[in-house]
Amino acid sequence: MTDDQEFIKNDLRIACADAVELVTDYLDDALAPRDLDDFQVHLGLCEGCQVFVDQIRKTVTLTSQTQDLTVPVEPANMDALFAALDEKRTD
Amino acid sequence: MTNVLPPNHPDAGTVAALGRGDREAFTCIVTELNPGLTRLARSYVPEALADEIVQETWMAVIKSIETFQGRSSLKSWIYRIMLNKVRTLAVREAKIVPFTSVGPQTDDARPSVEPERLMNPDLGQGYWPEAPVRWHTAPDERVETKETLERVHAAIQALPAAQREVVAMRDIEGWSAEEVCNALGISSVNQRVLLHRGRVAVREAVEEYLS
Repeated sequence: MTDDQEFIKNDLRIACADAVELVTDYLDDALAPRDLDDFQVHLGLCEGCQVFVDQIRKTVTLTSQTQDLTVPVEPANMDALFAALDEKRTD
Repeated sequence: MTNVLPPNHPDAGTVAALGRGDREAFTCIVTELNPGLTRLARSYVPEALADEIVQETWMAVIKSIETFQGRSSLKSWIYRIMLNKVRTLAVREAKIVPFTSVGPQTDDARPSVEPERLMNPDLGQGYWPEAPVRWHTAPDERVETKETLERVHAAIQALPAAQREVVAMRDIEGWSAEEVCNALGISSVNQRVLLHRGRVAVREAVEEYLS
């Protein structure tokens, strides 16, 4: 059993606790080549971290869907801003 | 007074036009940036105050366009003006803790997954005992319900300001990492730490809601 455990650990390269900290760096292509290699090998073998990465991706999608599209396209008093702009023209 | 940026600066044309008082150029950049500016401002202070801040921001842009030196994009510069104003106001309104929290958060040491969830009986501490429950188990089950999105929105609002800004810019407004670093004046490492902390907190809120 002990040998098996060591074998599995080596295969996974890094602990899940470390892998989950690297997800945003991974998604941003910001991992150093060595870390990227370890992360990808780990991910290929670890369903838990695969689900976690999927959930972070999904979180990003959900976050983008919270964008409030009802905000005003123009500031409250465009006329005042145009007036300030006009002053520049006569400077 | 006109501002002459290096001709190869991507915003040179717009900046020169604003310096001349060109309404069309101004309307163009307002249309592009006003919604995002307003959304971010409203994450700090109530709507009416936020909208005032955005109005003041545009006034400041017009009045001080000559001081823009082109070290960042015009967009970053405008966001910085808005953020300086809204942070000051938010502190005064005591809506948030004083903005000394820019930069790494005090909860940095908090792991992305609680250690007790990473207790594998065979592999030991730091490994999933089993995979977390997937969010879309049934093919027709949709995660993107109105209720879920409300939970996501609430979770974002509850983030520390520094995390909320980065999450809003990256994941709501769709900015690049570099743009966020420029607008907030933070390092790329810091940007990713804040983004990751924010995303992790939102993920937790969704997980809690769906379970």
